[in-house]
Amino acid sequence: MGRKKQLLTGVSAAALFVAAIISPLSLQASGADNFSEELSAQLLADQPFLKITPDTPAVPKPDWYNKATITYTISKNGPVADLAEFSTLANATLNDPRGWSRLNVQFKQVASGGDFNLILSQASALPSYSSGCSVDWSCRAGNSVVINNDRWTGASTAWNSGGGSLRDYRHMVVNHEVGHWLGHDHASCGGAGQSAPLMQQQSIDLMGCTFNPWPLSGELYSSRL
Amino acid sequence: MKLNQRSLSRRRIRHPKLLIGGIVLGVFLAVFGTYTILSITSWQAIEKHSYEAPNALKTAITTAFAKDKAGTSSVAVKLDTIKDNFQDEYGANPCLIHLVYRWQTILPSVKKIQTDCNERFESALEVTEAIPALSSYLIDQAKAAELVAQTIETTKGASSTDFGAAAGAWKTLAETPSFSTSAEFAPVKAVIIANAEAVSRAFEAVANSYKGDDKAAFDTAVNSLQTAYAGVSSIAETSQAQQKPLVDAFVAAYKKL
Repeated sequence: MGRKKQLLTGVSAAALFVAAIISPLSLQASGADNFSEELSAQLLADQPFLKITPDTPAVPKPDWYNKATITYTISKNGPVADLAEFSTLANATLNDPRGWSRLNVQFKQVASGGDFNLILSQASALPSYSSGCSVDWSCRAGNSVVINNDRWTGASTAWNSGGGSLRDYRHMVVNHEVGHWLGHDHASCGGAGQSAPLMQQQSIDLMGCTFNPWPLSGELYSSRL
Repeated sequence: MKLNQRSLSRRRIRHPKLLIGGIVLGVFLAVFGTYTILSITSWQAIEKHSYEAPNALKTAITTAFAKDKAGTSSVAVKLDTIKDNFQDEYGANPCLIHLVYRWQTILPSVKKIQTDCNERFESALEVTEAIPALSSYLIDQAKAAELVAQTIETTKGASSTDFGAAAGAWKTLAETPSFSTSAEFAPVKAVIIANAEAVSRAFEAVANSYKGDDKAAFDTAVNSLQTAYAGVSSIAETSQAQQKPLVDAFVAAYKKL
């Protein structure tokens, strides 16, 4: 009887061992949570590029942008001085802030089809442009603005005897002849000691005025614009 | 009385085998019981630890990313801290049991405890393994965004006199490779470089057109600058697209905890 009891106890212990291990243990993971959505949102919100506002910098229009453009061609007639130098100086003169550009225009040299043709011509060819043109002076005939090569290279007697520089003469003669193309006639000296109007025939006689290669304020108009 | 005692002693002496058997059985039961208790305790510990690691990780994440903690430090720093702390605390596999109990995995229920433990620990590892890629990405992203923002700031007031300098600043950004090291950020880096080069070229065109007198060229240059700046916005789109799978991988791993 005692032996049976001991055997029963042993079997019970073994069963307990197995049962204890087999029995489900009480620990459980915490239940499903909704935090994952919030976590995802937070991690995706870490987007510094979204905070950057790449506004295009304001690019102000250049001064020349709103100016009307007057185009011109450059050419020569006969054996004349350096045409490249003529072209450079003429363009600088025309777009000089003291010059006709004050009419809110810009002058642009083009290869062909310009509004006017700026020609450096040998003196003897001047009359071929118009009966009003002479071998002594520069002139404008229609859309041809013709600069006399003799004047371009040596100015004029009156100018030189008055002490004017060749550089200023070149400014003056280009501006003067283009002034005709812009619709200006000749003007007279306003009074002794005053600046000569650009459209005065300063090459011939200053008439008591002082040299002035640039248009006066009163000359800033054009029938062409 | 004396006769009875003698009679008893004689009976005991008469059954010595029974006595030894009883002692052996007692010892066996004591050893078996102790082993059983230790086994149960060990497996319970395994199971307990198997929950501890993921739970600790889960708590660390929920604490770090609780709403009231938002903004206290960068996301990348939070993630790296979580990973480092987890590795310090649970670097060793908590599912390994002592050799003397290991045979018990032949029992399906015990095997399940160990399998479940491994799965839970691996799910925690999966979370920590998803962190480095996301963290590196976020660090690179922050560096790059700062450089882009700086370049925008320094060039936003560009004027006719320094469009060339603005072009140079964007070119410098395009030629700065140091802002990114992670492979995941490489596509975003490529977009940044392409856009920085485009803005630089556009600024150069604006600077050049300023010197000229060609309205059409100027207008084209200004348009190209606007287009190039609009392109800078595309960096954010690319970055979001690159970041999402990394976040999804991390959150998916977190959900398994």
